[in-house]
Amino acid sequence: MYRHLLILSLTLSACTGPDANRHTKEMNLRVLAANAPCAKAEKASIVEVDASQVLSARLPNSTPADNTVLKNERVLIISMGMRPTAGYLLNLASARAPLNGPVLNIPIVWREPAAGSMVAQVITQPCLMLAVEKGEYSEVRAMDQNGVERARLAL
Amino acid sequence: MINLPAAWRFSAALAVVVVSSLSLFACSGGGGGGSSPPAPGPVSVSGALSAPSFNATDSDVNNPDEAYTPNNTPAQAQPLPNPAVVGGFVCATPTGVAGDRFQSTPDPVDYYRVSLAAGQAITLSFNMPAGQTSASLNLDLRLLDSTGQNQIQASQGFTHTELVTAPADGTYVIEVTAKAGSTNYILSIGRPTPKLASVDTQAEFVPGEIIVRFQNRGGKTKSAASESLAARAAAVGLTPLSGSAGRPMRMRLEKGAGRTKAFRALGIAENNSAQESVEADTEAAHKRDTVRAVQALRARADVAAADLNYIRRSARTPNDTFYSRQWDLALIRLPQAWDITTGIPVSGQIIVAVIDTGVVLNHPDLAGKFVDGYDFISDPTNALDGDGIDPNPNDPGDSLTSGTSSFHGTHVAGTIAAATDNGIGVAGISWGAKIMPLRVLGVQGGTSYDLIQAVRYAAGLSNNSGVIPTQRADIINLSLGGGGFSQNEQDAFSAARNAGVIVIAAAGNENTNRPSYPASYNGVISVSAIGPNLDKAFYSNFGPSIAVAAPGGDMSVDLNGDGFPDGILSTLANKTYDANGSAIITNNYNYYQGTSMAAPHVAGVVALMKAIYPALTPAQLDAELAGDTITQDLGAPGRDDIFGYGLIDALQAVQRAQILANGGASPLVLMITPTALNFGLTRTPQSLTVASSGAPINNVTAVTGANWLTISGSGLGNYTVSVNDAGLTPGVYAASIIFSGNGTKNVSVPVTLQVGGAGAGDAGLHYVLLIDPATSETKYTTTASPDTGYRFNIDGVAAGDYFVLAGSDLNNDFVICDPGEACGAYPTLDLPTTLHVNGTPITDINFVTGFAPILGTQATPSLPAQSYARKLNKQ
Repeated sequence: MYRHLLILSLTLSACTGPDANRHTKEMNLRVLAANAPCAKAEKASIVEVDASQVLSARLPNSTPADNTVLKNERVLIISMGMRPTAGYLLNLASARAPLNGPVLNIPIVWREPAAGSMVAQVITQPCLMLAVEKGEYSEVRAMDQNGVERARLAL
Repeated sequence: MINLPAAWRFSAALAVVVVSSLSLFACSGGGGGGSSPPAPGPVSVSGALSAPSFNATDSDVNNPDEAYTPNNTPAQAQPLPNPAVVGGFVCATPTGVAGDRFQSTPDPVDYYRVSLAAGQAITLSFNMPAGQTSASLNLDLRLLDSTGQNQIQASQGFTHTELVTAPADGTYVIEVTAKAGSTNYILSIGRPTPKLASVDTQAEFVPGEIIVRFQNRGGKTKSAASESLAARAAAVGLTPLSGSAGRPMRMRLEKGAGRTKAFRALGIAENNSAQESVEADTEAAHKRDTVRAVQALRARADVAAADLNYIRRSARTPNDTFYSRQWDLALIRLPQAWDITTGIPVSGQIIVAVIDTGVVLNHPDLAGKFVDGYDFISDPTNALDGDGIDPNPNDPGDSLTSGTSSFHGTHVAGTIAAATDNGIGVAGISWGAKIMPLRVLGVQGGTSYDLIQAVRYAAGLSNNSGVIPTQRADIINLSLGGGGFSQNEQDAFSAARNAGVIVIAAAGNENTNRPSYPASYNGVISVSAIGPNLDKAFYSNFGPSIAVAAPGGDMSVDLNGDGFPDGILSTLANKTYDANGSAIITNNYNYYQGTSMAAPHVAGVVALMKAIYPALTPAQLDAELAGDTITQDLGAPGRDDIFGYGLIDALQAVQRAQILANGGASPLVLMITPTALNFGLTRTPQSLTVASSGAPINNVTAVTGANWLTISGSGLGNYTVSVNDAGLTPGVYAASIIFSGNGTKNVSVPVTLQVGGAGAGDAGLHYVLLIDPATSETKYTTTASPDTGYRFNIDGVAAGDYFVLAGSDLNNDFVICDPGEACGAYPTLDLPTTLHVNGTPITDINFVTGFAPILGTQATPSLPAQSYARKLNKQ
């Protein structure tokens, strides 16, 4: 019987996908600002900034509640870096970021203009300023819709 | 691993086999009846990379897989070809990373040896990651004499770019030093380019006159006689005019023998080119000599200040709220131009078509500035306005994310023709011009077909809207680009030009000399960008198609100290969403930077010209540009690949329009393409085409200044240029071909040749990757070395689709295609395409790799350069 139990457990482990037990917790995310004035980076990056910077990045028509940073949140800026044209898009893909061990994976949408497409010849610096729930993670990664890591930050 | 008792092993093994079959069935998600053909077997994929002959790699980089030869002292200086783009690595301190070549010892300095021609620029650039400062990462560049012991010039700033220039032909040692941090770098040795003028030359000044204030000598050596006007002037070879010791003195640089005397006294090299000899007595040459004299005086230790004697005139100042922040307008002398015209025509209207994202039609600072336009975006999902083409060119925004729509067309339109002197907002260049807003750029950019329709509409030609405007546009502004050459597009622009429309386009922001379209089409005026200090903007494209330069902004600096970044300020808007998801568009003003901003400066100035002389044709404007009548020369005298014919000058432009309106003629000039030839290491003859800007030019001849250079051809038409390096020692050679004709100014075409040289075509050891396009995962890796002609072979490649990517890893971070590393993709980095592997060996995967001349010029393909940073499966 134990033999069968062993085989059964081997089977279950063989069929079980690699992600089944991986994400047991998620952190909440909020967009505080997009585009300038949060954009300063020359290349793709994640930086942590002081909550006091949120006021200067306040979007028109936002309410004070939109820009308040809670005590259990940190403020991160994810940047695409300096781009030579318009047509780039950086968005938050979900309001929750999965925790993978000590790494927080922030899901983003990262789009670039299609090769050969006609675009405005203006320098852009797409970015997102996020309020990210604090937790037991020591590294943050920005992961795009294709699973490509775009930037990381060791906290 | 599980260790099973022997009695279990057989049965366990059998059970595992059975269970494995069940597992496969359970996990594979379905079976079903019938059999499918077996997948093709794995095959080999092979090919070869090629690196440009001017690529070279630092012989001591951090990757231990790379060949190693130290270049740490002048005696060990690594020979370089010329021109060259060199990829290198330095570290001020040991990296401390296990496996690095420089784990335990630093590599703080690299030395190179190269033959240079007078005026050649050597540029050092490196990437400054976010979070780094000059205290943590800083490189310096020095130019030393051939012994490597004596400094000729140094560039030791705190930015990520350093520049030195060779003062004369000769052999030099180049020193790259890491003052802090570790990084890849790119060292670029370019075509001879005389030093940029650091004197404010765009303003009017009295030719020959210089205002100088000398340092007080003081101390025991002070004597009234030695500090007198006469004595000071004699010491620098100038003619004294007025002033006295202790205050500014006015002096004059004479022509002829007086010029020679002054140049000798000031240490200025004379007659650097055949063209300068020919033009020595012209007013333009005298002004140029005056600028050089001022530069030389400023370099003297006994001179406190030296300036041109500018001519100050009253200038019209509009009352717009933010006018004081528009440094770009004064830079091209608009206030002086507005004294002559503000762009309000005597009759009718001057129309500038802005083919762009559309315009926010209700912006208060654009009120009353529009004629009817059209929205030519044919794909509703791209247009974001619910339909395809329609008569409404209002810009709804080009993004669904709050706060991220560009409203790019609104910014461009404001630069050209914002309502001016109305007490609000910004000033436009042409107060009287009207804007024809035409939408072609949506959330996904624009298409060639939509652009063609918009161009035809603007030109008053038949188009898909079925509408012919009551009055066609006089000028088309295209602050857009992307895609390759399209004959249909060229035909549309040719048709517009033939209809009398002047077409102006942004040169592009890739900091490259690769052609960008539509700016590079025949008949389109390509505009490069400068920053507030008259230097090429860091992003601006350059190359043989550049016709003119204009302010595009540089938001990394605040040189005028007004507390704002030195971008271009204009009308703009912002889109957010309320709680119900409804869009709220707020009109405002803000700064942008790019060649997008440069092009409308030229469009606005041409609109001012048109207000005075409505009959101005595209050919006439070309002749005015080529005749140096409406620009301030920057860079090399005459035309150059960075600034074209120079910085657009609004005052000169409207003055020329007045002359044309009164019956004057545009200059008759020789139009020569290409504008420069660089043979490098090749010996294949090259062609030049010589045409007239107007009436036929007689007695066109060409002379060369070097016995290794020959040219065949005569009159207007095609010429063949050949080089013969027999008897030449290794080095770089520069000469000019001087074209002349009856009634025209001479035109000089610089020619560069390299003889011999080391390290040609070496972009370092490459890692070749096959990447799954669906997951971006690296599936296979191999190496390709310059020692074996960069050939590569990957065995056992399974059937499927792949992108083929190759690059170097100089800093040994196990990531290729970092900034400063070579990179290539199949078939081109611009447009990588999928390789289909399907059971048949593939043997011709050949493509180009190499270093970008200045960091940031990597193409932005469908797999963007940053995503080429792939982890290598190195052991």
